[in-house]
Amino acid sequence: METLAWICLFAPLVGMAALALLGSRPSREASAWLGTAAAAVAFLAAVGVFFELLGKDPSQRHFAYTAYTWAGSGSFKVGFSIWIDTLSVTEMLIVSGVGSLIVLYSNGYMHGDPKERRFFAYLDLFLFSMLLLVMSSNFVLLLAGWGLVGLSSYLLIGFWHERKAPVDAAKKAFVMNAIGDVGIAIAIFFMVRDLGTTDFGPVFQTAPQHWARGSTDANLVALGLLVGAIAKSAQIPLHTWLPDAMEGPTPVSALIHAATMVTAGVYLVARAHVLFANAPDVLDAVALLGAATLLMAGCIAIVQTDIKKIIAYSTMSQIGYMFVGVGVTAYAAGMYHLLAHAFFKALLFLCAGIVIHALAAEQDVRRMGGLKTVLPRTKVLMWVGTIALIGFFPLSKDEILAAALDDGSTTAWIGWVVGLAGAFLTGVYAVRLMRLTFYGEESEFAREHIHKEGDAEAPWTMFWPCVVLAVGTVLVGFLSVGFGFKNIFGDWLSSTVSTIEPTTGDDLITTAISWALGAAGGLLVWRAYSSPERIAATRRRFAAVAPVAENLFYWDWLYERIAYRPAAATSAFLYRFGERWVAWGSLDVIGWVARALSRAFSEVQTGVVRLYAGLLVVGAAGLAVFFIGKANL
Amino acid sequence: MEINVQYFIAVSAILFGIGLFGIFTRRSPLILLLSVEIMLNSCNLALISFARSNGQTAGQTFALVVMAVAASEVVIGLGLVVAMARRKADLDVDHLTTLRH
Repeated sequence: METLAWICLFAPLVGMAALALLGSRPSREASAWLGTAAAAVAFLAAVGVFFELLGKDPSQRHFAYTAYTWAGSGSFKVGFSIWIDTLSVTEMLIVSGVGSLIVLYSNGYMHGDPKERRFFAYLDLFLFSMLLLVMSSNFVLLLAGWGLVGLSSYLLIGFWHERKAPVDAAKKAFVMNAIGDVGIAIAIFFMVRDLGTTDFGPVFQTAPQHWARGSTDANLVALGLLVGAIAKSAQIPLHTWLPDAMEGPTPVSALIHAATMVTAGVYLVARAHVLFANAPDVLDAVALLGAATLLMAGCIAIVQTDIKKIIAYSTMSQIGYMFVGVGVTAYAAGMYHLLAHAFFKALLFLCAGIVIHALAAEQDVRRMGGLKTVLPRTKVLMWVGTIALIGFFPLSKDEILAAALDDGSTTAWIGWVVGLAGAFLTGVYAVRLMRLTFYGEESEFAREHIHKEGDAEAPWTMFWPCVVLAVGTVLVGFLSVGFGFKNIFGDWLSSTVSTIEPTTGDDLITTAISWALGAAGGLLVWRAYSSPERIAATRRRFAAVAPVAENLFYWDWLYERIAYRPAAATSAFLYRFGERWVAWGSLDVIGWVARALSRAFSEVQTGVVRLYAGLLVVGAAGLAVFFIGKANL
Repeated sequence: MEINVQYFIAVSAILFGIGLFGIFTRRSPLILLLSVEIMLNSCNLALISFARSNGQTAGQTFALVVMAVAASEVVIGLGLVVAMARRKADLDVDHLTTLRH
């Protein structure tokens, strides 16, 4: 198992290094396949680890392997070590499995891009970073992975750096994620100070003894981790980077900004659930922030016009559900939604990528329409994703809400009510997306730009990953159905994290309401978009509130004023006075003095030997007088 | 009869002064070389005198090294002077300033 785990972690890094070192020697196709092979090797190794772990007794399903001591100071040591248990293996399978499919998809999507090889190197770097994040066995190594995924996310968002928008978006994502990194670092400082270690095992064992439940220290540790989680997972108030991140290529949006990296916050809360359980107030904050985010992001998604941004806000909203799940201690339910979401959201993004690819890079849904005749297979696949997103099947979202209903605390009630309201919004934006893209009149733009080479919608490398994801979405649905059926996923995770098993009654109520609201939202929006008059009527009805959503609830406006402008003004001030006067000015003075001195002394350099000899004698005489005088004193 | 070391040092200082005076007053490179030679030998005299008075041999050994250096210096210096004379160059050290840069 140990060898397989290390292979899983390092295969993508080897792929990245090979791509980087070989440069332009292999052909573009060979480079792309090399990148894909590295991801596939990681996935096969992860599957091997999974089956070996499955063969072990449930109480024995956790292993830690240390390669070497990575950093140390006195008795404090940080190992380069990995942690294999059911939670990390679940994440390994998601990251390498969905990752392999998306890298394969990129073979078709990025074909012909001038920087194709670099793209695959970055993707492999991301996979390594993400695997490091989920496999690390201490918080320092986790933070290293956390930072590295931030770096690869930055590189990939800004991949098309010839344009300004991707560069700005990349910077924004990096800066906001840096806030989260600092939060985790502060939590680590507390661990080092009070526990003397950051290894998962000892930390989770001794933390409740060192930090009293609900004490300031316990709260600060959990809060630091929470800041990291919300920055990475795009939850209020550090969420504004995610929609901008859609400037990156679509496979990147599918892999990093939907399936894996943005859900790392949920993984972190589940991983450190002992620390969060020790700080009940912070755990409530997790659920409430998730609830607020899912509602807000759902509202914004309804008014977005960029196909990728609609899905991005939907991602934000769905991660909100996961936060509600882990916030009410239904950890396995939250992780189950993470798993299902990885499948159906990657599917939606990849289908959107096929649409964008077919329409010559157009992303505005208002210029699409009537694509069902030209992209019939994509339409079917996207419906599978949409049905899963609304929550008809898999019932992953309902499991979270039923667990919240079962929990019964005030926070959980808020989560339940908001979550059901969110189900309605999900129905609205998901069906609106389908309606605008595939149905209605075929738009002028689509008629002009769609390439009609046979009936091929997309190359097989783009089409088949979508099929696999669609099948996976349905199959994942059977892992945990609720209604008293065997909870396969919950049992698998039970050796690592607990969950709330809702009663069949709670399941029934929640699912019934959620289905009804989702369907109602879908039908309403379908009807609202059925004719131009109806669209106009709907627009009039919501004229008062729509601007709030269209302006993204004014978060960017607010950050522009409280963060960006003061920072820009401060740096302009420091540039003008600190940099120009003090730094440049002092250098100028030093240079001026040196030049003046050298000009003065160069007068002596006449080339007349007797003058040199004279100066030599004067100098020697001076020294003699000085030393003799000193000796006499 | 043992002569006091101060007398040797006095002779050495006088010789050094003569050499220095030659360097400052004459402009022919040949005379300059002679003056330098006188100064070097005055130093040798001082070295040997101190060595003798202290009963040590290090100063005498070093005087031999100085002689070797002086011989080499004279060879190169005389070679340069002869070369310049052959080219009918102006043999005045005050005018030989083109190598200053």
